[in-house]
Amino acid sequence: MKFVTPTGRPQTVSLVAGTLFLATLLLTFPVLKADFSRLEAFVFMTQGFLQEPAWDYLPTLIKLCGETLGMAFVATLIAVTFATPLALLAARNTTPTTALGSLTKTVFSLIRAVPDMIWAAMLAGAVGIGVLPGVLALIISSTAFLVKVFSESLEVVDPKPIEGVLAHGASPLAVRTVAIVPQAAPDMLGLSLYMFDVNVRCATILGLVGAGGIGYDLTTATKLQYWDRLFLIILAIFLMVTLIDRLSTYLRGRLVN
Amino acid sequence: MAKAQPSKRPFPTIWIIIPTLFVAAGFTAQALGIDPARLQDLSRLPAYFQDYKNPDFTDLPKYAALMLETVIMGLWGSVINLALALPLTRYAAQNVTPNRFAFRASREFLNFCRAMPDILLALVFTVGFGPGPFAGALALGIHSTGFLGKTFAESIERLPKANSEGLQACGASPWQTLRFSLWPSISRELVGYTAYIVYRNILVATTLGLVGAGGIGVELTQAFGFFQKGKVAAILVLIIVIVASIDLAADQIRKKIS
Repeated sequence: MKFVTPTGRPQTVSLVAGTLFLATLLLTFPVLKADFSRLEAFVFMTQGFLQEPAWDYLPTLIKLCGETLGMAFVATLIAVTFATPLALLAARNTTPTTALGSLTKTVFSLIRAVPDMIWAAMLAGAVGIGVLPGVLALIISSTAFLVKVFSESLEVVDPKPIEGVLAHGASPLAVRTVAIVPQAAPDMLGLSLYMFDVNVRCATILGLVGAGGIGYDLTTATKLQYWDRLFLIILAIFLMVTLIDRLSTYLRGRLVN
Repeated sequence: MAKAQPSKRPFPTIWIIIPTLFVAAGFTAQALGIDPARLQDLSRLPAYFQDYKNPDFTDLPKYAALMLETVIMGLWGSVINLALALPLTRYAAQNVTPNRFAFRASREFLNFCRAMPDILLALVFTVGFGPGPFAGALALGIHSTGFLGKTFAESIERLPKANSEGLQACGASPWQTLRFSLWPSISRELVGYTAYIVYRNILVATTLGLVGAGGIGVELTQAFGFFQKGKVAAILVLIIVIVASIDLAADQIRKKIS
């Protein structure tokens, strides 16, 4: 029996490609330097997880979780505020000139190429450690992401309403506010909620580079081998992220209907 | 869903929600101790970034080797993602799952993967597997599985029922239905998501070195620590070039298949 893959290429080609890919993978495995000799430490750590949790740490933990959520909230709101006009500048069908549109897109794709942790580390160096560099890093990286996805959702709007208002002699500004933005708005709101969700996740680890939130205690607990405390922190992060994820999924579902 | 109902304009509520959000953000910023006066520190930023203007490429071969290690770490992470997510999708999609228990269990597992930040996982794995790219690849392999499995399952759930009913009527087994009805209709979408995950894994892999999980991040953290801004700049340039080109390639793949 001879199958044809969905791309239309015969199966032999994908077989050869697959084998080559597998071979490359196996050849690169040594690069990963897998070391199973320390698994005992891992077992030791999980045993530490099963001890009684460090309840006295709980108040600090709750405070730090609140800080983490607050950072994500402020940063997302500011990023959405910045990204909306920038996306209008970048999207193919709303940009004043094509050159400006592609320039905006390129600049933000370069900003996006620097991971948020690196932004946070650099900003912590510039403005001193604390919540501020964390919020700034989240603002920068989420603005860059939102400009991309906002402009994409502006670009896929139905052109018919645009033609309609144009036929009525609408000004370029009116075309954008009446025909384009309202069509993309639910999508953009959904993406903003998703961004909040992502930022909460990210804010939990920014503390690793001294940029606020629960991440700093996470690192110290691991380095000092406070396994009972680490267990509580991991549990708290899991609960917080899951809760926000469910909330944002629920709200996005409401938006669609 | 009601069909021809005139849509209620959401604007009135929106115009209450938006100002409320901003006021709440103001109070949150205050509670976080973000001092507006400290925003003046931001004027130092240009001077601070000035120091990064002269990248020091003397160690380029070393950086290139570490960047390769980073990319390999990202690829291995993605392979683990696929190996875990593809079989799980069979159970995590509501319309093909064999029973409710399998559905809930696989969904909860995927949620757990997604909820654990990759750096946290990397930190934990460096305890068990020693510092190095293996811990990083494993961390990526677990975290991104959550995203991949969920999106895979959701794209199967979006498929119209009629597609698979035709095959089931001919007596096809669940796996056969999956292979010949569902797979052909979603494979393009899956390739797109996989391309995104490969890009994301490589992007994140550059930072996992912060916790000692291998790749270019280890070198970057060291350069940061010693204030060798020339070296930091060189590494950043390298990261930007590689990551931005992978981003472009992933975009091209997505555009080509859609």
